Amino acid sequence: MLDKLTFRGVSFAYGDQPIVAQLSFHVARGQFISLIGPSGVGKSTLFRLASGLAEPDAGQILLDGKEQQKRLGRVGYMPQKDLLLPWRTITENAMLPLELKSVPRALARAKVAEQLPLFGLGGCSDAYPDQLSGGMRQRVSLLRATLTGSDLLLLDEPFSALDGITRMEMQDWLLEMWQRLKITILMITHDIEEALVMSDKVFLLTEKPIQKIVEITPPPVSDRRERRHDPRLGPLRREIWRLLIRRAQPQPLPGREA
Amino acid sequence: MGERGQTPVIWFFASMSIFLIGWELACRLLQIPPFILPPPSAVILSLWELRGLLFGQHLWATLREVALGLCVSILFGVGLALAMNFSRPVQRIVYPYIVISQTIPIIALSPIFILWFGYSLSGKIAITILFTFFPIVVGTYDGLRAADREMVDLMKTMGATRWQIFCKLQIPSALPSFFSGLKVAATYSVAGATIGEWLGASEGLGYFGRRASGNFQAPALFASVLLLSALGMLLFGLAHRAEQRFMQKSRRYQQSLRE
Repeated sequence: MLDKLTFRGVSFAYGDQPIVAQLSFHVARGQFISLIGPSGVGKSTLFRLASGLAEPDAGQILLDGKEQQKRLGRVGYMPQKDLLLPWRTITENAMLPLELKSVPRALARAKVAEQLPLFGLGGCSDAYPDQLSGGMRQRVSLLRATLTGSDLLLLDEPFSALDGITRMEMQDWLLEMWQRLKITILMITHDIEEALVMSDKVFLLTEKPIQKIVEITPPPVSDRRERRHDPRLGPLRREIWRLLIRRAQPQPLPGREA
Repeated sequence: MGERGQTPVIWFFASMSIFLIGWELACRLLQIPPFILPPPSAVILSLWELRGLLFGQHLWATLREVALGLCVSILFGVGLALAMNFSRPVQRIVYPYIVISQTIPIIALSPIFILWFGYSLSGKIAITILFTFFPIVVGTYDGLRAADREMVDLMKTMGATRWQIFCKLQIPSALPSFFSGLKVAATYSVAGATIGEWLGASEGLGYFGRRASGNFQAPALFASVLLLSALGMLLFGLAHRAEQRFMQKSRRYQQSLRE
């Protein structure tokens, strides 16, 4: 299977604080990967590196097995906040990436109009973001990310601001979109359950700086929504929790050793 | 529908009427000499008697100074804000001086401007600019800076150039704060032109009012003040209209509320 995204010995530091050190991993094309780890471990930094907002200090980041001159504009990114422009309608918001690529406006509008019903947004085309619910706004944000034309999407905690029921609906819907669009998705989440239900693989980030990734593979099933009720998830959940907890153990303070 | 839109207007006229009637009564009952405080009726009468002079000559003179001053101020202020937005060094050098320029009492500085620019039109325009450029620069610059950092990053991941980010994100984000600055500047501009005329002029409402006060013609002075205030309100109203036109979103949103 071809790799969509490859990190090869990547190191990155903010100032003198290393965030990523000699990290290597790869994501196969068409996979759904969840990233899980404690706050502040550097999950978002990995996304900044993958999308090209940050450049590694050392190592290589490959897209489709090739090192790209410029990754900006090649990777779809969906931030935690929906970041819709309040002065633009839903259609105008969604067509932003097309506009930036100088696609003629009429064509861009037509493309968006075609996609809106698929995203459950039919009839909202001329609404403004503040007239929509949180779940709907996230759908617009995802539509916008897919219209970048990239088949690799990075989702940064897309559902963390939603209530429990909306969240489950959105999970089902995202799985459906993922299958239909045949794209590769990397999703940051804080929810172990969400990660195990939705993913081909769960990437566990436990140490800082990030040096290696612990991969956990949930049991393969035909319908992922059924995983919510799969008893085999229990031991995996415990395993992830154990790994996360071990990381969170207080370190002995320097200079305090007996 | 209309009721919600008209209620504030009704309230304004009601309170204004009470105020004017109270004023008129106070003048008549307490027998205040008209050269100290003229009753509103005398002010209106004076406005009518002097209409040729006030509307024909002085109002136009002041309006010209205010309009030119405000236009130059917008060009200059927006230009400076853009320069500060695109260049860090310019921002570091210029911003403190813009703030300092406002801590100096502008009125004290005005005679120097008359010294530099003379008693002609340019002197008054210069003083009007001194009064108005600050809210415009600060409003525009802060607005440009207010663009969401995360949104800038998101647009970069979509392959946006700096120019595209400027046009599609920064300018629309700056509009509300630019127009707030413009509205403040519009009201200040009348004060600027008036002070310019006080310091030396041969026409204009400020000149007229000062001469009237020198002659103890309080009703004429009040008439000119009334016109100056009306001019300020007119400019504020124009700025408000421009704001609504440019900010389509608020216009359409208000339409949807009215329907």
